[in-house]
Amino acid sequence: MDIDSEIKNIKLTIQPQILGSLLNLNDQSNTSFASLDKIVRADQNMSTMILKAANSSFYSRGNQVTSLQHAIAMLGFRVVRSLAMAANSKSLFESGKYSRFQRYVWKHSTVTGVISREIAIRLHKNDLQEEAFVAGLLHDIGKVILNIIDRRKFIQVLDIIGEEDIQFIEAETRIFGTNHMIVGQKAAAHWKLPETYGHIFEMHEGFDALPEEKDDLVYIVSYGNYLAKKCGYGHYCTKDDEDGEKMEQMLKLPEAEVKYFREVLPEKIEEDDFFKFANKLI
Amino acid sequence: MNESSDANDPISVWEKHFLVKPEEVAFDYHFFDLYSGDEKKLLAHLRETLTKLKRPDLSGPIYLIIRELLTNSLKAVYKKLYLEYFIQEMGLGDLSYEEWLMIFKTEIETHMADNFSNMCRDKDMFVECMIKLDIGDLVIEISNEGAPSDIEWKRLQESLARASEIKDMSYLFEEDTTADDYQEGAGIGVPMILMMLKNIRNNNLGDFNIKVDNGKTVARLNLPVAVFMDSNSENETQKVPT
Repeated sequence: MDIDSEIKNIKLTIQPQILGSLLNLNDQSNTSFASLDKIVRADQNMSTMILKAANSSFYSRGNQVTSLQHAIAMLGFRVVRSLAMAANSKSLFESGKYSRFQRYVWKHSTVTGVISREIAIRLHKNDLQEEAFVAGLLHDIGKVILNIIDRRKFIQVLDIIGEEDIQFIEAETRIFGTNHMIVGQKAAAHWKLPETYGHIFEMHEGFDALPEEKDDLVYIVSYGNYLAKKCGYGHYCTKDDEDGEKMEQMLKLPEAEVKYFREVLPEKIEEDDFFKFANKLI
Repeated sequence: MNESSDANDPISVWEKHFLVKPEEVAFDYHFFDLYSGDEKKLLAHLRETLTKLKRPDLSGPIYLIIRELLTNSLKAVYKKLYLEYFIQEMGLGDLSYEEWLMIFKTEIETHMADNFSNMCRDKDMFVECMIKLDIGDLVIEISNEGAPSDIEWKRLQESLARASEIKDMSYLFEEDTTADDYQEGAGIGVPMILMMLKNIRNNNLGDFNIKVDNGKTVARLNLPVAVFMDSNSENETQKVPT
């Protein structure tokens, strides 16, 4: 499979409910900006598209844009809306509209975003909150791409992980000959997304050893990814626990924090406003 | 110098009748947008030139023509930039012209062409406006790098053909030209230009054309020396040294 040319031609589908909410917003009101921000965050593909647009040569002019707020402000309300409409009109099919995909990819990604943000806050890395959320939301974009490239094969991957205690990357390699982390990293490079996002897409699970020193955001999102699965949002397998422990070491988490993340945080997810909002739309 | 030598050396007409050397009125402006101040400089320069040629009254109409051509040319440059550095990078290259034009228009309306102006400067892409005295003509050229797309070229040719048949202002009221989705403005720029030219040149449409030449799109307008001579025949010719 020529992943590079597949990525070049890929069309990311925006969920109809998301597009509907977007089109219903009134672009004259100030509250619409906050609503727009919320809607964009509720859809992985929409967020990717907005970041990709803000990092295009035309809009970024060499400056990397890592936050969705900044990206939306840069593009403007109406450009975001026009872009979403145009991008959607070219989608060939709604490849992600089936329950297992929504459960293992959409919902898992939303929860990873919410948890990653919470980790950044708890670790007093407030400057990373927004990026942790966005990177958490997008970390599995490689799965979305594989599903668009060949939905039939992706369903085989879902079948395998339903039967065997293995991680996605192992099942994907078996079926596709590649995995979502490699595909995600290639897409990030092709779309000119910030380098950190590329690292996160490439390296957020399946660690054979402690990963080499990267930046905190990589560990925060990898840990968020693990916790989301552990909490029941996504596909969890035994090897994930090894990943989780490695991330706790890399983040140098005190015991009390580990306890909080593993025991208290799962209870709080369903109370999160954004989780509730996104859950209604997905 | 007598009249026959004028015919062999038409540039001397300008010197003989208006005491103006061609190099004194030639100017060349590069535009990245229409609000950086260069537009005012161009207007001042144009007025000064036409005053030297004893037709300051033409400043308004000719400026309006230049501005319309500049606007169209800048739009062409902006579209080229947007297509190359945004639409195609976004993987939306297979959108129809109409679809990506909608996003383009939204971008212009949202940011008042600021992004385009900056991008043009980064990429050194501009619209050139040149005015010079040529052999027997005042020549105005508005040009930009790149050729129009097939669809734009076809529409331009149709617009020129339709507009060349117009007789008077009533043409503008014959149909609603704003209802066309491809249209970005009122859709009457080219007819307005041709009508003004007819008036300036005493109903002689003369030489106005838009061509693609050496990878550039060039709108060229020639105003024959007669335009300036006729007007001065009663009150100015006597003052011209012979």
